[in-house]
Amino acid sequence: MKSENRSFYEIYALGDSALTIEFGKEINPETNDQVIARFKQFQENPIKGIVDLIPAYHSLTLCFDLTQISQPKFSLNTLIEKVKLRLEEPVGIAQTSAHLHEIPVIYGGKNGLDLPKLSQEKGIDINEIIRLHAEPTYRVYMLGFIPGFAYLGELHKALSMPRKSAPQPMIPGSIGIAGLQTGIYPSFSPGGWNIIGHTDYPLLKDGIPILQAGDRVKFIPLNQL
Amino acid sequence: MSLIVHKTGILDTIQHFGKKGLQAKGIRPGGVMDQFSASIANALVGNKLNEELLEIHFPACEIIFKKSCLISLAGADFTAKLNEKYLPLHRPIFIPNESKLQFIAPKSGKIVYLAIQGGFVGLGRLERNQEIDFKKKQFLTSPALHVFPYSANIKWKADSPEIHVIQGREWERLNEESQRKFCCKPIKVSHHADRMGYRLQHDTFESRTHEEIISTAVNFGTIQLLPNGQTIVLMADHQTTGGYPRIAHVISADLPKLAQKSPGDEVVFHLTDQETAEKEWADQQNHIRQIQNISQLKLNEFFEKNSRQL
Repeated sequence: MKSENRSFYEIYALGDSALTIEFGKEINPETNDQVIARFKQFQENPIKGIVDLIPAYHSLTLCFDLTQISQPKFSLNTLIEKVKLRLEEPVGIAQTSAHLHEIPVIYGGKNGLDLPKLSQEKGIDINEIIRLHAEPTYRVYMLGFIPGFAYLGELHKALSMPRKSAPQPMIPGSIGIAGLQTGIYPSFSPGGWNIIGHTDYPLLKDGIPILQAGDRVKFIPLNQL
Repeated sequence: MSLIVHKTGILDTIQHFGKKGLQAKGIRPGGVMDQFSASIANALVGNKLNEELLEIHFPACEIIFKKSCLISLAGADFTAKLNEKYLPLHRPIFIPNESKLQFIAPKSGKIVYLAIQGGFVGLGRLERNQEIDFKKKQFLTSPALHVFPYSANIKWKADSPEIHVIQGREWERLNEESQRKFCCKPIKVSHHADRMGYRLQHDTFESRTHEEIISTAVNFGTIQLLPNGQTIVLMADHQTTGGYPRIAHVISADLPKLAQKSPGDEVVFHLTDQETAEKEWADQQNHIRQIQNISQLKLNEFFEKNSRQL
């Protein structure tokens, strides 16, 4: 744990019932560390009136109950002041304590149909693609899109691919790549990422996602091609 | 079994009022599209305001009541008929058992709510031949259809096109002309309008920049500018995060009005501020609570008077 005294931030309104705190201008691990640390801070010690928290790449959104905010003694400004005071408090940035998920992957085959295309377009041997994809320990930057869809970064630059022009049906456990991100589809859904493999790793338990923002993911290849 | 879904409609669900606290996991809160009408429906049968109830779109489902119960309808007028008799909106109604409820034609609005005293067991989309139970035994039952002699005095017009919005983080991306086109000019709701979002139909809006946005949170009412210059208002089943510019957000108090717009209906957006948004919301909530208080008094009165006769 290392301690950070201050966070750089900017607060803006997301409509009349949410505030977004932006901790930086780009996607990077340091900014996301701030997001996760502040997310945990607000989660562990809730402020009255705040009913939901949405951590994202570089921002944390606080959703509040407008009924509690539109009281004579408790306005939005009161809430903003409380949030700012909270942001003055130092928070621990968890680095080694983050939960690590080791996710076994079968690359290619019928559940990784885009792998040969990727190899062809990039001019990289398939086994080298597997090696490059499985090499890093990824960070779960955020969850979004559908319940439990984890945005993992950062993918090796050599593997960067744009999204498909039209979404296709995905099966649970499909491992895709888009830009400098990789991710796993937790349920049946349309999706535009290129699919390179598949995992049986449980991603939802009773409908609740297993992966959490701030967790780490390491892919374990089960096959060579 | 208390009722049976005889025929399914295009989109009928038992809805809650939004489950908060799971958006960090990518789980949207969901819930009713028109919180105002849903609250009124609950108030009329003496329920807590956020009791689970039926949300019905058109073409609507057909329901057979196997047990007698106290219901109310609020929101859109779909010409409700019970065994060939028309049912009015915004009144408590005793339904006799073995009666069939149908919705004949949409006259106004997009969504109607059906509340039952005590609420329903279960959640989610209705299936054909699904049997649904009531949560509680009905206080009082009636052998015949009985429409109460009073209705909720709703001082709020769902058919007005005026929708108030607060500027979004990326409002300045719209060039001046597009900002003018967005504000105060009628804009149509397109045919792509469902529980996830209502796409709007207008001249293409011009963006000053096409710089990519880092995905971040969106909300019920967020208006996104799509790459083709069109816009979408995110509704109850919106995703938790998005990467399109957020040009504005509909204020909470005007979401029910917007939810009741059908494809082809016009809306006129007006910019407003947080203070007004809060005041409008507080007024609307007070109005709902007034209706709830009066309804409760009248229901109590009715039960006392009729407990022996019925």
